[in-house]
Amino acid sequence: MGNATDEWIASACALCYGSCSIRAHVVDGVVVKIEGNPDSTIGKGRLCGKGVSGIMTLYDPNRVNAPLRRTNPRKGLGVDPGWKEITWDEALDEVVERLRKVHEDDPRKLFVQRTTTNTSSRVPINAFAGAFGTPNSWAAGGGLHCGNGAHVVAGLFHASWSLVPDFQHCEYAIYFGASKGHGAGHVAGSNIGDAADARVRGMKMVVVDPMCNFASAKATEWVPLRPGTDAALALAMANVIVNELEVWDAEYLAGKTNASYLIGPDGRYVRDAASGKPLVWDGERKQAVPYDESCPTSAALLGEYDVGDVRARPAFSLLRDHLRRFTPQWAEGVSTIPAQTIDRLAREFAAEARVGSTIEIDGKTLPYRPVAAIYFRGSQGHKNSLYNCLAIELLNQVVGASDVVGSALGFNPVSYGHPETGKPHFVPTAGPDGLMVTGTWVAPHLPYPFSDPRVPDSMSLSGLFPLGMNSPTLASSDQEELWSRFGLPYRPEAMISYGANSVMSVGNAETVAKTLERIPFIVSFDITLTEFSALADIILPDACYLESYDARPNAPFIFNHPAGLGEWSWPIKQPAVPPAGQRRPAPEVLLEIADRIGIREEYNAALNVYLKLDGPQRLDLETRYTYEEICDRELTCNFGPERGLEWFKEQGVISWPKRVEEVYWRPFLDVRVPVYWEFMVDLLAKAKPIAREHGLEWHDAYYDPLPRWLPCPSHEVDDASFDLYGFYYRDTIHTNSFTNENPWLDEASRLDPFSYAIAINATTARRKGLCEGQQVWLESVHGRRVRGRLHLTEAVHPEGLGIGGCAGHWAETLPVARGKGVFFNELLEVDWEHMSPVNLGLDTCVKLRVVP
Amino acid sequence: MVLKRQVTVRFLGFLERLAGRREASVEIEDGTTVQDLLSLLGEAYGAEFRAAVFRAPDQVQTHLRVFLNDGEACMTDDVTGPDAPAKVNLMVLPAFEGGG
Repeated sequence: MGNATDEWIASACALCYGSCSIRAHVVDGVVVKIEGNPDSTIGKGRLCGKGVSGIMTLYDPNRVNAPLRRTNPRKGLGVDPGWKEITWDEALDEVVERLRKVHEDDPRKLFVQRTTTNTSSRVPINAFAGAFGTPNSWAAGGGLHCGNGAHVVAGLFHASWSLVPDFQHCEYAIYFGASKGHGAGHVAGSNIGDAADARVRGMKMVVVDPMCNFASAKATEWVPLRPGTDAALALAMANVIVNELEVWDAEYLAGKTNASYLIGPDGRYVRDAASGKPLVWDGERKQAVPYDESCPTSAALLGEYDVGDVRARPAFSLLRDHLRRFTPQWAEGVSTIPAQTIDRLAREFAAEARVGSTIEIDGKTLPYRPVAAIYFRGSQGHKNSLYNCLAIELLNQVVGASDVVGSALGFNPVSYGHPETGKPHFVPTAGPDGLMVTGTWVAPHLPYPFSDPRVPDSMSLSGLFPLGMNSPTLASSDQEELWSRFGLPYRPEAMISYGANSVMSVGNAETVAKTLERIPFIVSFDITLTEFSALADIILPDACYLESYDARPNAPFIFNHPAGLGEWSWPIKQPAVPPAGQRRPAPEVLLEIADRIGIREEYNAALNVYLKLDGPQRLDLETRYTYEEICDRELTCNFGPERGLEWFKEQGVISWPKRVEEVYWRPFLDVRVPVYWEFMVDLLAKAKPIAREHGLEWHDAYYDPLPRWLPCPSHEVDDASFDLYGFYYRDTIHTNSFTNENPWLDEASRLDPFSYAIAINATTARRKGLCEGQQVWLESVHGRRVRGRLHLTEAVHPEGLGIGGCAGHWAETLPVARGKGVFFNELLEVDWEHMSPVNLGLDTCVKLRVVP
Repeated sequence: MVLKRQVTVRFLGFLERLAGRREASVEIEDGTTVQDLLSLLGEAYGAEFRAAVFRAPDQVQTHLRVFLNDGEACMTDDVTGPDAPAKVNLMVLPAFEGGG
């Protein structure tokens, strides 16, 4: 390992959650260079600027090197914790004593949070929460901002965490607030190359975004829109496609969705009396039959039928009528995109879909639909994220461009495993009403089916909002009021944090800090001291990614693995150098804590489930294991006894070919997806009475089975002096707030005209008498303010203010990051008014005025 | 004649809190499935326990994992089969592999 004079160590990056495969060049025990690993399809030998700069994170002189104990009992923003170095024994004695008491009293009083940046935190920390017995855990702000809408919709339609165009065959991709293939996010290194190759091949790319930056700048066309209005554009496009052009893929809709299911006047499925299955109208037999007894060519999509005493219509017929109201002219008023442009985009999308065409790949004739509508952080970061993402997804669905050649692809929801072992194995299956259940998933519960709404018993209130994945109520200004309303019988008494900086990553710091101040005991695994650390009681010095093991940096494959044909790769993460100082890898420490609290059996059982360990690799519940032993078991479980951790230390990665049935899986599996969300009728009927009974303000409009555009709070601000929409974008130079302390990335940001600035439309700025480089305040209607430097550009919507990432640190322990860039999240309210009453998504656009 | 037998159920994770105990002895009939056993326990330990186990009446949470001693069981497995253990470990875990 670190003692060799000259070697290359294969591992995985952790400067963002993309987790590209890397090789670290180690000379005389010192890492001197990091490159992409060409032996792995994850990154394909490419590495972005963040990955290269990881060396500066490893050797950051401000790393935490010993456990620390707070000496100042007072907590708050700007309060010096008075850190004092203590031994590991002292630290763990205190942590174990506090956690044991909480566990004996009520395990739900433990609140667990982790970062999204380092994917190696997932299994150890979530298994610990499950074993401890607390439902209260989250991925802090990163998880909250990015996915309550986008991930749910991608899961429902693609059995995947997100989606990309089939870069190898797509001819026309339209991105809505997404940057897949342009530097940020899931498996970024691979997607960058694949997207570039697609553009060289001739794929047309349209980017709908308030800002022309990473994706837009490389696109065929940039379509600026008012922030938060993506659904208006998508619905108008869908209207043109199905009502004016009358283009749809009837075979796909009838066979692979619920578009043919008959809907009664109450908005629910009309069901077979005997089996309870939804009925469809069989045009050949001229009668209603259960959905699985009719072939796609005879199931009606249009019309109106009498089924017993009920007058019913196919869901697609309802959808088609529903869409008529969303004209391009209406959408122009909402989004500012000219109606003519909307009409043209719809026609281009419909024509390029080539409905009815096929292509032969590996001797198999497959549907060919070379268009893709892609949504992510930009379109989803709004109160109405669910409908924004659903409306965009319907573009793919109506033309059948879903997990077939050239279309929108969920990345890797089907895996039949390594040829020698058949593992990892996961395949979507048909669940209730024939609708798809994912084969594997990443978040606390599956997208479908979900639990019945009930009086919530967790801090997240997720019991009442089963479509939510993360909840702002874990750090909202009104959390106490909401918890009291629902009679939550406990309050958080302790918190474990793993690398998260929730003071900056959720919303305004004052609100989040107040929620943290109320937690009597906080222990935090950190590599540097952040704004969050300052509110902790104990700091445990974590080993960074170049100092620790992880058997699964890219598992599950629906999160961090390239889509399309090619290879599967399963790499490991391993130390390039041993941990310096007293740093210890958090997974090892969690094993010790679990053991000393007395939850070893639970922890081993949880790890068996999450890691899918079976046979001889299953952990004995009563045995104490090291984390390396657990990694070894996961690897041998998946790849055979001869390919354990030692084999992977040498090889770094194992690869095998993908099968056509894994990549273009839709025609091969008998599963359907919901273009009509009948389950919303049931959710509303069950959730609303509970909400009303507990005095919670309610909005039925969020529970329609078909999507609409609903305004964000920022769209409803009456004060005309607040005339601009602030939003943040993912700066490819940085990941969340974590990388601002990296000196190389800081230098890159200082050289970049946008990274640390507030982008404002040049015409708008001049009209206001503002000039390039001017320092200004941005002020929200709620009186929150941040200061920053203006950069005048034509590359932002005239009503927009674009801010890069999550900068503007103030912690003295972060001397590189401190005082640089703009802390956009400071402008965000975190309360019920700004979260979605259907999936708890937090609104992240805000109406602002510029104050010179 | 219906044969009955005793099994010891051990509650892991937050089921221990919901059941109010770490272990319980339960009398079951021959042919009892894992889902049947969960229903029995739901009746015995109340609404909060049932809500944790069942997502809707008669529909077990999709994320439920049940351990029969050191092996994971399906809902339709017979708890009283010829190789059935005398001790059943029960644990409820969320279905995620790790989170976003």
